[in-house]
Amino acid sequence: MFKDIFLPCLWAFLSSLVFCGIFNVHDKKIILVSALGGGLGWFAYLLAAPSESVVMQNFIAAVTVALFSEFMSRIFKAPSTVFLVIGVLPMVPGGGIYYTMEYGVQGNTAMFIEKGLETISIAGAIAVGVSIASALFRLYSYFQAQQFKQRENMVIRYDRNNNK
Amino acid sequence: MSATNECILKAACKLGRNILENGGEIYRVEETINFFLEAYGIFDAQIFAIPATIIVTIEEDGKPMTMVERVKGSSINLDKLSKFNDLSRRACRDKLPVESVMQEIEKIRSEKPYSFFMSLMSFGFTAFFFCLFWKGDLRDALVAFVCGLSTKYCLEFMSRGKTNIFFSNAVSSAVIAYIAILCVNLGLAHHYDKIIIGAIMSLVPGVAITNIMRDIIAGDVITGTTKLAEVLLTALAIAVGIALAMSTVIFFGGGL
Repeated sequence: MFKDIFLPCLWAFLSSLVFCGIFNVHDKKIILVSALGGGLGWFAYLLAAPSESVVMQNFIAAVTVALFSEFMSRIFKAPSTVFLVIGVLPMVPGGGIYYTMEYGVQGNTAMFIEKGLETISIAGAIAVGVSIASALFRLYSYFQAQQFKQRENMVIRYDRNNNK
Repeated sequence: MSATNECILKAACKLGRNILENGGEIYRVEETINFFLEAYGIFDAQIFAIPATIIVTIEEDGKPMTMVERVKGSSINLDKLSKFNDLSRRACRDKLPVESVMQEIEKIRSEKPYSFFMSLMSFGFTAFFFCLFWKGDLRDALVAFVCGLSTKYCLEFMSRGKTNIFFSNAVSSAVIAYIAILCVNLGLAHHYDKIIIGAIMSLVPGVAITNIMRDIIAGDVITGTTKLAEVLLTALAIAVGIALAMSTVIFFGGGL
């Protein structure tokens, strides 16, 4: 339990934390929160393990991170990109690129193609997950704004009627 | 309106340019310029942005006025991105004078990124923790730390020589692979694959991967395909670098 779930999430959290240095994030609160997004994303990835498909796991983790970063961007008044870019890092298929290349060097074509396709589909899953989540969130905030406008219009109408 | 349309256009372009350079998405750039211009009373602006260029045309007394910003290369600086984003929001809300907006842009532009040492440490520790994350043991992680430092030195050296991204990524990953294989053969670590994966994580184009689909869904297909090409090129560069190192070791050393 500790070794299978807690440790990977901790490593994901810490790697996202130090990656903030490469991306020049200076605000300490934002560094901490976006690194938490990295840990959370990996936690979602591990929770989705019963689906038994790496692509599905990455997709769910990407959706989680994207929703998290949209909410955090509201709270901390920073662009969602900041949280998103750092939170997604643990999912980026560095291992996939490496193993694809290794099979290529060994001349193992079958495994090379299999790994290569897996890597591409992981990257695709991340991209699709992120875009779906942010599209959903945009829709949500659009309706919220719309409701706000309606309420405001009602208030204005009410004021006008009473002032008559 | 005290400021001329020319000044407003200039400020909007600079703002968009800086957001683009520091790693913002295209739709963010276009929206920022649009909101900024509308806040200062310029409507129906034509805005076109791709990763390399921003073109904005406005109309003044029926005459078109265009500004083009050529963006060459971007370095991701999320701190500046969030500051520019904040500045544009404040400018639109409070209708700041255009001169003070320009001054603030210059002020944020001149802010220093992390020092070389801090950046070096981030590269090192990123490799360290990612190696642990990919299930390497502690000795692997320490070697990965050294690889991370070498990555930063390579990138710095290459950027002074003004080489392209493809080449500098290939060289950095080749150096990583040589160090990893050497250390494993000397008995300092156990898994060279874990070390290499941990160390290349700082080169892998994670930002571009996350932004591709967002751009395409937002309607910027040109940007999406450009970034896709960038991702494939970078991944290829990393793979070529490691493959080069491995095959030379196999060829001259007779095995890994």
